[in-house]
Amino acid sequence: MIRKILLMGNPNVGKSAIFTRLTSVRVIVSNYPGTTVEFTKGSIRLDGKKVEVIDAPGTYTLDPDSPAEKVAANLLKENDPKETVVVNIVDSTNLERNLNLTLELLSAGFPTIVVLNFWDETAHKGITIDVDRLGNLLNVKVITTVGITGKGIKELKENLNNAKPSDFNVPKEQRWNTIGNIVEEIQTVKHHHHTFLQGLEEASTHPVAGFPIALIVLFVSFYVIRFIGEGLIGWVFEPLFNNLWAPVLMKISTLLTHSGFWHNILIGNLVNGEIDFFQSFGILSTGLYIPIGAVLPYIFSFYLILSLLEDIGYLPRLAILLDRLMHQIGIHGMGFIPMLLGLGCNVPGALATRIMETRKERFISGTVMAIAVPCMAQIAMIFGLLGKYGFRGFAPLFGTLFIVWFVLGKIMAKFVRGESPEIFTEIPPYRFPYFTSLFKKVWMRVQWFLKEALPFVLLGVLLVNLLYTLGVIDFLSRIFGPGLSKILGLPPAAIAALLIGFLRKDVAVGMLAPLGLSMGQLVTASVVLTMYFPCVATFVVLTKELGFWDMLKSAIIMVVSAFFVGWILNLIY
Amino acid sequence: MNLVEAKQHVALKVISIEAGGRAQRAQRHMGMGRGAHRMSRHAMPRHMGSRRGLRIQKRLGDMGIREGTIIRKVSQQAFRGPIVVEIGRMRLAIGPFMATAIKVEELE
Repeated sequence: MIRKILLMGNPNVGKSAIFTRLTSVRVIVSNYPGTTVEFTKGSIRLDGKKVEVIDAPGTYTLDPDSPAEKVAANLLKENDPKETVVVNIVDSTNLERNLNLTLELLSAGFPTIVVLNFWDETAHKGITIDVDRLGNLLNVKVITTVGITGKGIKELKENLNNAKPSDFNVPKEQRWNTIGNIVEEIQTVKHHHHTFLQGLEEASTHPVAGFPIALIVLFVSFYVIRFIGEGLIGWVFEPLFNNLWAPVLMKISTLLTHSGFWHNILIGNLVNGEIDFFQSFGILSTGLYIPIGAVLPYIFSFYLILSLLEDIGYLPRLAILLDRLMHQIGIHGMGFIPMLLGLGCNVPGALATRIMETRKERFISGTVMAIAVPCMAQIAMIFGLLGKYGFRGFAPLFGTLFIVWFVLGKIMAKFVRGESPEIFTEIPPYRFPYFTSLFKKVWMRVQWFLKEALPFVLLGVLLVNLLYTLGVIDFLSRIFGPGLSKILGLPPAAIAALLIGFLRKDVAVGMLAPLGLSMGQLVTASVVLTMYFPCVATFVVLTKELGFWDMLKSAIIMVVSAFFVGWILNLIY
Repeated sequence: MNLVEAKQHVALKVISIEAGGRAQRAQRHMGMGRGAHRMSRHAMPRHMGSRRGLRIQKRLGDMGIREGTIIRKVSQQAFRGPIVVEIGRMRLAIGPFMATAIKVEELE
């Protein structure tokens, strides 16, 4: 009786492509209980019964070094060998290193199938592997696949039911010798010439040529993100909202006689007798426009480009180039991954601090990410507000955030106790992305945004209206307003934005729109909003990641530095 | 000769992996924090050094680098940055201090 199928393998062996091929369209991303490294679940039908398929995080060994690898090892421990089939996915162009995990898995006593993926690449690289011989040696079924084209997947499905545990078991000390012997026996490698892709691989980690390449990649990425984002807003979402949705809202407004409690909540204030999606602040007007009209296009384009860079395999190369810079703030090159993910949404950024090994690294990367990296939702809204000033508006904003990131990181690297290990990571070869699985990934991330953000935005807008109606905001502005204007040079009403910023930063930036702020005030307010505290979703995840006391320390650093930097900006402008 | 000093694009054979000599200075980077490092000066430098060595051996071993493995240095970032090595068809980025622990000899 099979209940579960576990896909296990080293990182970058094409597990996700196989997973996408095996499972039906519906895929759930879930967090592992207790920890927060994501793994993916799906299901397939075997003999008319539904069987769960789990895509475990990539690991080199069952004797883990990092929390992410621990998740994979624990997945195995928790499942019953009688009900679980392990599908061990192996990079067939890299047999020797992959077999270490394979032998560990075989000793675990699960029914196992070994899948040699990237089978098409062996031919290009001059490798021949005697598959039957390998199966006989390990006493296990071996199947060759090409995840991208789907070759071999059918055979894999047909063999799932017949998977048997192997009796192959070598003591730990002899494992590498055994692997050496096996590889010698079944694999022959012919010398081959360098291809164009390999030349590009060398260039992108070259100590000199790597940097201009990185600059070009990053510049093009951000340009494309902005181009797709603005394009979608200008050509699709704005026309939809202005031409289709606004007339509907005006009808509702007329029905509600243009005023009253419900009109305020649903539609908000009319600006010059019309709906202004940035300023009206009703649930149906601004509440829907912020997440869908202004932010969603950027979320989509950001994740499209990020997933593309991920799947091609460029990110680890960037990590190598940035390693020296990141060491300045006490974390190694891979620490830029939480920062990059944080640019999309701070929540996955906070989750990604897991890839760092030590407490010190997680504390520093989590804190600087939450302080100095604005999420795409917030950036999209800032583009909307500061866009008319162009470079003059963006440069001081992002420049300040970068300086804060660097200086705070430098200080923390000096004073936070703990370990700062070096970079140690595999660099996968460049690969053409498998577009079905790429789009699935983008779609999952966009869906996740809608599910997480939409309710919070609506709640935020509702709360803003209620707080205004009940006079709470007036009250708070009167108490904190004078101090706020003195330190930050912002009008007392901006306190409302700081309050709501805890709920959603994009809504908070939207609240600055009707205040008629100058460029300097907008920059100051945006910087303070980014820095002073993470939004509630990030706060919860980060507390889970760092623990209560570290989060408390982190929060104190955030509030103090935010108001300090805001004060300095106020002095400048 | 260790991996940092070795030539690029030449077949290198790993003779041993040990965190001694210059690599010991790297304790802070390899896992001992600044605070702990200060403490270790009084208390247990030698002991920690050997434990470091074992941990380096395990992590490299998981990736397939052990005594006798043939590797090739592909690139090295400026200012003692990470080193990229090739083992078979796999590429690996290794920090400079871990690289000092890898003693190699040039083949051919």
